[in-house]
Amino acid sequence: MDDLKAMWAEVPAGTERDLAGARHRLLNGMRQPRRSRGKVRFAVAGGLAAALTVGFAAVQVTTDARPANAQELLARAAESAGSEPDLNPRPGQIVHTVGRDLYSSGARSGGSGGIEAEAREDWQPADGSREFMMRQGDQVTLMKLCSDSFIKTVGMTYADLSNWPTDVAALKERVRQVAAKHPAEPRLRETFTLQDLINMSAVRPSLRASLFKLISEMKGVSIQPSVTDALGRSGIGVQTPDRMVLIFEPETYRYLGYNSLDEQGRLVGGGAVEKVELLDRLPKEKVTFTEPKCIPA
Amino acid sequence: MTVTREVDQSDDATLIQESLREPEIFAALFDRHAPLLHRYAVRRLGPDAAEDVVSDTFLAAFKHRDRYDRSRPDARPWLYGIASNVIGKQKRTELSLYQAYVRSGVHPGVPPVEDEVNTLAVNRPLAAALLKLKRGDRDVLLLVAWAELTYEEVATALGIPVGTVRSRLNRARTKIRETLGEK
Repeated sequence: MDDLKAMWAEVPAGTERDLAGARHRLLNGMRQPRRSRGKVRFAVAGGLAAALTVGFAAVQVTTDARPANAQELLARAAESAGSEPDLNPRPGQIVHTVGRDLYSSGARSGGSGGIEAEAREDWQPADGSREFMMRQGDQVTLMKLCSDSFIKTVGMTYADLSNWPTDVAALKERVRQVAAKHPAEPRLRETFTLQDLINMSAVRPSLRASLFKLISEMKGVSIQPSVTDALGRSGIGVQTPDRMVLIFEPETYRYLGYNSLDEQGRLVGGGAVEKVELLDRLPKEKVTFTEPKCIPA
Repeated sequence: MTVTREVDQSDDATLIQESLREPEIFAALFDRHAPLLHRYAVRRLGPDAAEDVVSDTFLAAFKHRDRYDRSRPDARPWLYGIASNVIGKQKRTELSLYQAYVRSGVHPGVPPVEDEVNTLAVNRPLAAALLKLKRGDRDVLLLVAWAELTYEEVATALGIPVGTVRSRLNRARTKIRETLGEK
């Protein structure tokens, strides 16, 4: 480490001359007018495809002060989500999402436990009835849900979400009922159910808004002023008692994704989505693997 | 506008807070930290790219200064975190610099040294080792070694848990030892 510290240590600190250009640009930047704040703005999206695309937020909610606590942040996130249009996919449509996953290399391959990121693209039938396709890295896999899969049995396909209640008390009860049937180990069921619902409700932001309100009622939620999502975007987060960190865009409070932490607070996984859109059919992709068995979850 | 000496002696958090009311005060933060940030950027990217790194870092910092955590009097972790993102976008430049050094023994930002033979004998394998690190590991390692941030400050800079800083640093050191052992 000492050798590394000494490496190229002869480089001098930047002089006034070295820094003159950067300083000039900063001073010029200071003179640019700031964006107006404290307003809800609607950006006009052009064309049907754009109108159906969530992710590049159509709505921006900005206020002057940073949220003081998790409840305030979630309230703003709920307001932001509630301002977005519901897509309400029909049975037969495909929900196409593009994003990136984080995973612990130890969890997958007996590796060092470091975190690795991988691009991910999903094409899921809204009602779970047909084949779905997933691209991870350069692999494209074709799969099918089992007829008795968890999300079909409990009514949690994309198409089903339009039937979920947005009243927070009713939603809380529905989450409790569904979580009880989740295939994960008992202590993780509620967190996983909420995580799935928050991510899937990109197609129904009004439900996502209610989920944020529900989480704000949890004991032990805390604000995380500076977090980075799986796509490398800086955000502001809310950590739940089960160490799920929901990440929001710091100015608009739009939901970006989540990180999962272990008991020591270390990042062990996560996911972020940058695009969600509805398609009428699966695109033609070169499938590298077809899963022979149906997927139960 | 002239920044008064009184303001200049304030901690970074106070300067940033004051700059929300009077933007020009932010220039005092630039004068305080830009020289060493420039040095850090020269070591990683060379002199040509360093000025842009400093410029982009402070422009981004200025733009987002309302998000600064006022409980942190020292803004270096925040600034070096932004700089890490800026440098990360120039990965090819950084790797080319290390490759060129391994090949030629010349770093365009480093003035001539007296004991050049011994210096090269140490630095060349280190440059070769830096080439083999993952970007996240290299960021952590160089923020500790060259920017002289503590583990906690690196965690703040990169928005990662301190445990991750430790594990990345450990992995980077191991990789460097392995690479140097190959020589």
